Amino acid sequence: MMPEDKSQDELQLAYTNALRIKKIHEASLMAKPNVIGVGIGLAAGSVALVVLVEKPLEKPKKPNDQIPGEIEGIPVEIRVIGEVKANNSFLERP
Amino acid sequence: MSVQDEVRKVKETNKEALMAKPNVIGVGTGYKTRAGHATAEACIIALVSRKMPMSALIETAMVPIELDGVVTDVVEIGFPRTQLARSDKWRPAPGGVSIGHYKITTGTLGCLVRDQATGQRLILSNNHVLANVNDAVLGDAIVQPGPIDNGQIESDKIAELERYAPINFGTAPAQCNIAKGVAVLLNGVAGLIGSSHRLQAVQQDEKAANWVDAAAARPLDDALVSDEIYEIGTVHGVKPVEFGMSVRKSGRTTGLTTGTISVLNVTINVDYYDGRSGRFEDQIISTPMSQGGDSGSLLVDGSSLQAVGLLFAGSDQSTIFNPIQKVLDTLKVTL
Repeated sequence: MMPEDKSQDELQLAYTNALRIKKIHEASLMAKPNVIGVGIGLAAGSVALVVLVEKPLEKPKKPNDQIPGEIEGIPVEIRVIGEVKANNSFLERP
Repeated sequence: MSVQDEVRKVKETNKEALMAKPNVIGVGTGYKTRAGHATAEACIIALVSRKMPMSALIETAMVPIELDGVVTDVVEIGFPRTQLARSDKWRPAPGGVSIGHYKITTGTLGCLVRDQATGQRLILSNNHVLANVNDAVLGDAIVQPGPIDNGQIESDKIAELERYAPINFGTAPAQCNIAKGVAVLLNGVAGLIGSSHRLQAVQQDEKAANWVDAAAARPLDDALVSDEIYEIGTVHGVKPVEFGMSVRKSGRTTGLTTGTISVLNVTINVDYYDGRSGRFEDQIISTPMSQGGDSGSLLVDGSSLQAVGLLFAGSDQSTIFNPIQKVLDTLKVTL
């Protein structure tokens, strides 16, 4: 999983940085349409902000709705995750 | 013909009729037990999972006292293990089988944990499995199997709700007044419901953030539960989560499944059944490894018997877990 050209230390540093950037930007990311989550993952071997969306994105109606490709130098990856439910379908009561 | 041969012959003649009775799961021959003592009297034995009083049986369901001159006996053997499904009744009940508050559908018994202060063994699962999404009273009946698997209070109660971390739905409009009332109440007290210890403020309120969907139930008797997780084993201690980690879980619906950790430190909105959505912080996401009814499963490291998370939500593309240490700290229990 970990790319060989990056040491554990570098990854740890990038991870800590990503956590800091996530904290600053998560509220504005979560406010965008279709966004249901923000986390930290690996994209192409680099630490990335992962933006979780319910369904594939349509063309944004307002410039503000656009999810940036990177934030403060950290790549942003959009992942379609579907509808997230506690316990899935069993919670729909009979 | 010897007495034993005679009994065997009568058994063969009546076997099908006995097996056709609703509670009989086997037929054999042996010696009659009277008042708890074995006798020398050869008899036909009907095997049942659970003995019932005569008064609870309709006449055709009863095993006749005598068949063609040979006495009968009814012997209770419980549920043969190899035939048990996770949605069946298990005694003792291990992790990975159906369980739930008496008003819900069903979830999964995660594993046994121990009260930090007393060492008492408690059942770990989700708030939405054991505490009906805050809509429960401490001491409420927990049934194994869960209600959708025909678990009933009279026959299948295994534990009582001991404590839970309330889920804070914040300012999202509640669908019913009761839910609204509960949310307001919980906003006031915050933290853990049911602990005898000082309440820890785990829910700072502005963003209505949650960290866990967790609850614990106290078994009615220690012998009703098992420390093991079905098809995994007995888990000790916790392991910090990492990207790419191989993990597994044992759950009521999909059984033993494996996955890989894909996203960490996740902030995510999770839908509950009545239109309410809860915001969770610092969650773990894996590749899809669950379906409805698996909630409450313990997430276990793929290569050791250490716990990683508590399964509580999912989508077609992912499964979502609370970090296990946060669950244990919040409920004031150890693993």
